[in-house]
Amino acid sequence: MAQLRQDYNRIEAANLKLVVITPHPATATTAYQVEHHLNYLILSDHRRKAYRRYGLGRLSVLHEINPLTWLRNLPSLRKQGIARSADADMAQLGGVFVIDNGGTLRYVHIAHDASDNPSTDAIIGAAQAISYTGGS
Amino acid sequence: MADKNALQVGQPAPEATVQDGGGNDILLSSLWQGDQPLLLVFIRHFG
Repeated sequence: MAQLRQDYNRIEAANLKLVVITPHPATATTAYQVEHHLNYLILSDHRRKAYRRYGLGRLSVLHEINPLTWLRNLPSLRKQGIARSADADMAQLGGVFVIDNGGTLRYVHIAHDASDNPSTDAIIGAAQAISYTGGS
Repeated sequence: MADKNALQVGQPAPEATVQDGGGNDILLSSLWQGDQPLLLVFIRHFG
């Protein structure tokens, strides 16, 4: 999320409409959006149906109980506090998709572990390819 | 290990319903029908 906030100007300049889906409850998304003055849409998929439909998996139990996993999550736990993080599912993995206006996937990145994030350059490259071909 | 059923570029984006901050249902397909490509980011958690 921090990376998104940092790269938002580049994403906007590339004419991409950014929508973020979170596993947090709807009320938490509003609070986060207001707190961080975010201009893009944040939506809730608390039951994770969309996560499953997009093939986004979960960390294994072994990975979840690994102290290194908790160490990696420490910065967000410190930022949000344990209580607020408790409504997050730390085992849920993320993903990034670019979709054209015909509903076709133009870029797919399905995370395989907690630190598996695509580069903003790769995402913007996929979006530029859509404009070169005139979309669908 | 790669999932042979994983979504691929060129496939239709799956439909799903999510909620806005007010708890209203939003169809994902309503988000990609504009004049800009949609960058849909599923995050693990806020942070």
